[in-house]
Amino acid sequence: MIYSSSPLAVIVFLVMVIGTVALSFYLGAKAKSSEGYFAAGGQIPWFINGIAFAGDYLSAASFLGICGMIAFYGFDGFLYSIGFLAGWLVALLVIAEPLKRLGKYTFADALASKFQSQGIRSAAGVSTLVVSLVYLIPQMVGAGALVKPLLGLQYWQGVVLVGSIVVVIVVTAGMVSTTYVQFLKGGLLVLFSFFLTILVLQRGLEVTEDSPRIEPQRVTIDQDGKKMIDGVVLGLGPEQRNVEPVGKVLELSNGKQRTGALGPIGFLTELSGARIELSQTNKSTQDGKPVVEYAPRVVAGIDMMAPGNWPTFKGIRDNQWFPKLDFISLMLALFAGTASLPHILIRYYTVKDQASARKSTIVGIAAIGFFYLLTLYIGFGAMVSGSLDPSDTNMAAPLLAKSFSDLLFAAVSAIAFTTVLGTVSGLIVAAGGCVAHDFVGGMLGLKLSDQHLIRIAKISSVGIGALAILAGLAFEGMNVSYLVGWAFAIAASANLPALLMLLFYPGTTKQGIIAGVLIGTITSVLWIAVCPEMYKTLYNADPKNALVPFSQPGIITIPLSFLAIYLVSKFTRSSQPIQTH
Amino acid sequence: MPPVFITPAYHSGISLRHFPPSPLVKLIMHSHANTTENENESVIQKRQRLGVVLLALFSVAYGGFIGLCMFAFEWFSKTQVSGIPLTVAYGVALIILSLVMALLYGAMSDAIERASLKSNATSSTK
Repeated sequence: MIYSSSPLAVIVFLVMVIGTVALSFYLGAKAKSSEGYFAAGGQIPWFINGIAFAGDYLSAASFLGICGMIAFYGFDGFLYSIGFLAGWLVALLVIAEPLKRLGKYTFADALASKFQSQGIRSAAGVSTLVVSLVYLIPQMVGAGALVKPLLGLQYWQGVVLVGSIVVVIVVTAGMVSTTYVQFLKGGLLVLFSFFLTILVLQRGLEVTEDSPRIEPQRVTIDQDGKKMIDGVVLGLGPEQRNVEPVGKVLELSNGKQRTGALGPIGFLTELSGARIELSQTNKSTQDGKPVVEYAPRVVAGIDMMAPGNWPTFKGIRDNQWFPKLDFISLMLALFAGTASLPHILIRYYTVKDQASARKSTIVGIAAIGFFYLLTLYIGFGAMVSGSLDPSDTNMAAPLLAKSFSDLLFAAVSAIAFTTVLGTVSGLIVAAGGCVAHDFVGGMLGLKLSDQHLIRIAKISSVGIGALAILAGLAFEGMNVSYLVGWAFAIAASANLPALLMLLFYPGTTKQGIIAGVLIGTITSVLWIAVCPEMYKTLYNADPKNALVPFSQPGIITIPLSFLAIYLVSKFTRSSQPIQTH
Repeated sequence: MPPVFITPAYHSGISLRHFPPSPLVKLIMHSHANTTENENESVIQKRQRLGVVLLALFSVAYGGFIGLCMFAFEWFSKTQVSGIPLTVAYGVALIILSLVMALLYGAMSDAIERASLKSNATSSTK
């Protein structure tokens, strides 16, 4: 779909971005010490930190990916909401306080605390970098998708823009400014999502006056390389045609034409009795050129509230084992991954003590849980808004806002954009800190001054930002929630088993921890590299030729990491048993 | 001493006086449990045990949800609770359960820490 940018949207967007960068400059200029740069001096109030958790966590995947997936495939998107939140209980109940007790700046600090091992520090550093990079990809994809309708820019321009702004933020700032940006962004995101939900409920459901579409919309490329839709040039000009939006209510229960304002339960009940026109994307080639077809797909509301509508989850309705394993594997990764994400873990060092770590996690769970409840209404609201772009599932929430007003669209898009900025800067701060502390300070054993450490972290941030831009360009078009699922799987395989074994298994040795982190990281990355989804999306190859039978590695690689720690610890135990905490 | 939001000199040298909080925020932010970092081992272990038990309970609810999605798909998606499919009702219930468990853990951990402080104070006066 081609979008026209509105001056209002551009103004709101610029105000938000300039405000964010200015705040970063202002606070960043005051952070002189290493502790101030990497951990905000351990003095962030727990309530602020809790909302900042929401800001860190509610990334492009949550706002754009989940809402988009619910809008097009119903309940399958909500499965992500449930899994993402469930992971926070693991963080609160077993990770938060020990991590605060054992560490200082990075996840590796806590892991290496008992052994003072440079090996552990290096292994944890590797896993932190890998997870951060993989998690950065969906954020960049989300950013590229957002700027298209907001500013009328191309996808690649959006990716480069976000990458550049974030590098500026991180290089000029640090954990204090990142925290306050996350606090503002997290708070605004939850508030605006609540407002959007109220509007959705207020509008209720209404049967469309348009006749249902029968023919698919067919996008081809002509000899001059121009994109055509149904034989007409794709565009907004007088002789051109745009992709038509989808998401119309064709029928309501009991022959109603409109419902009027609805309550939260009434909305779901009415939706379950409705019939809705959505679209199905079919890709093929003709004369060597790609052809994309958006075929009409009429669905019953009740079916959209059951799992298995998304092609990737379709297999859970069958009796085949691999699709079911793929699904369990994803849900396991979401459950176990949250408590292993580097940019979440470092936030435990920004508060003063364990009680504050616990309380900020509870505040985070409340804000994040409330937001995920809202995704149900934003996603389903978008499904029946008549404004869905069939070519991009990630745009459902901003386009829902546009169906109410341009101002709301501008505000929601700008918040979504700062959401991406916030999460990306959190990830880059975590990755930069990891390079400075775990590799330069830990693995190489160099004793550097605070200023040198900060400089190394900043230089690393520029490199990591550049890598994120390249990766964002490579993965254009993939649903960001699915990409995030992979980051969770790697984090859960690499980090969580090591943390849990360190805390709960007295026989754990440093060799065991190193083995667990490395095996978890390497096996999960390799699995993803040769999985069916990667064959289909990145390699443009037949997914049936993939080397592994399903795409989510967690169910194999998480137990493998536990097993590696147990076995290696067993054979190296005589060297140094540890006390549990 | 009453709680003061303007922080003392941070290690980082950053003042937060430019973010004046509302009285409600002040109350929330400074109502720390009376804990110290020098907690004794038994408090840590009690809290850890509590965390593991609550996590095990939640895992059963979460696992049950995944199991129903996979092995009782027809029943799960056709059954309704107050006009809402059970799938959605169970999912929403899991989100609410997460919050309830988080609050429960917070309250019980505070109680464990308070009890420990009280018992320490009693033994030191003796």
